[in-house]
Amino acid sequence: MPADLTELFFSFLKLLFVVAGVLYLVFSAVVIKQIYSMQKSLVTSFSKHLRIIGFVHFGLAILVLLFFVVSL
Amino acid sequence: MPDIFDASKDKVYKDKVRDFVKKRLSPLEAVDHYSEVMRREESSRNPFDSYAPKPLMVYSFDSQLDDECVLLLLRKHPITQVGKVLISIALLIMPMFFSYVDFYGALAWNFQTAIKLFWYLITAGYALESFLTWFYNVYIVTDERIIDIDFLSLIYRNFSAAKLDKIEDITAVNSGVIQSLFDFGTVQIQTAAERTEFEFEDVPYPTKVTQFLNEMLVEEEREKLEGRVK
Repeated sequence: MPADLTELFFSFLKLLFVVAGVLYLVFSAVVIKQIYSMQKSLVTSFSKHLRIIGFVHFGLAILVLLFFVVSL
Repeated sequence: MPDIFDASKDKVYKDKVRDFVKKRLSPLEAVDHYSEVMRREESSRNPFDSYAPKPLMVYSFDSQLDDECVLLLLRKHPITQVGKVLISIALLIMPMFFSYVDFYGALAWNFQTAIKLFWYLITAGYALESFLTWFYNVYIVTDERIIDIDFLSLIYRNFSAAKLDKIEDITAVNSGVIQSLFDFGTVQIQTAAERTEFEFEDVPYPTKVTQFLNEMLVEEEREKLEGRVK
């Protein structure tokens, strides 16, 4: 494959990863919103831990997106 | 002349004592006085219990009435989640086999890492979403109502409730080898409320749940007769 084409292919691949990362970030934000909504429905002793898990998941999504933007 | 024993007086006395005791007990304690099922059960303290009698870890729920108390909380039996757990484990170990794919081996290290990272993230998302759906799809029996809270997806929520005195018929359905082996099944409740049928799907100990609901109905009737309806 010519060098230009290879570069174009990897640029396109990077764009795909970034778009997927952004979409996943939106999904993880929806999950946090959903956790809050679910907690309103049922308040248990595990509720605050679930909030933390939701935010950790959101944080991981940000880190992965940053990795896609910076290192690809 | 000595008093002759009068059974009706004795019953009135017993009812008065029971009312006196009930007024001083919380609903969680009072349920032991009229339910044989609950008398045999310990209070549940584990927030992950799928059969949680007299739960102490449920603080409140949406649309809870004043003085309304959760007496039984049910979720799907954990065995029904085995499929999702296996899928999560399969997703988790699948990256070990990526190197056998030609296209993956031809990529630079940063793209290989990106694929693996994204794969693990999706696996985490799938596991979290599955857990949330199981954890928050609950069936609640209070001293006043039965409640069905459904989260079919991340954005769809369905909340249904019926007063105990609207219940007309209760059936426990336990079918198949797995259900018989692990003692779980579906409790079907016909009501005269707006929603005519409630289904507590795949809940543990359906016979016990049915028996408890019947005891609640009897108590509700007794409350009506004695004019103690809230």
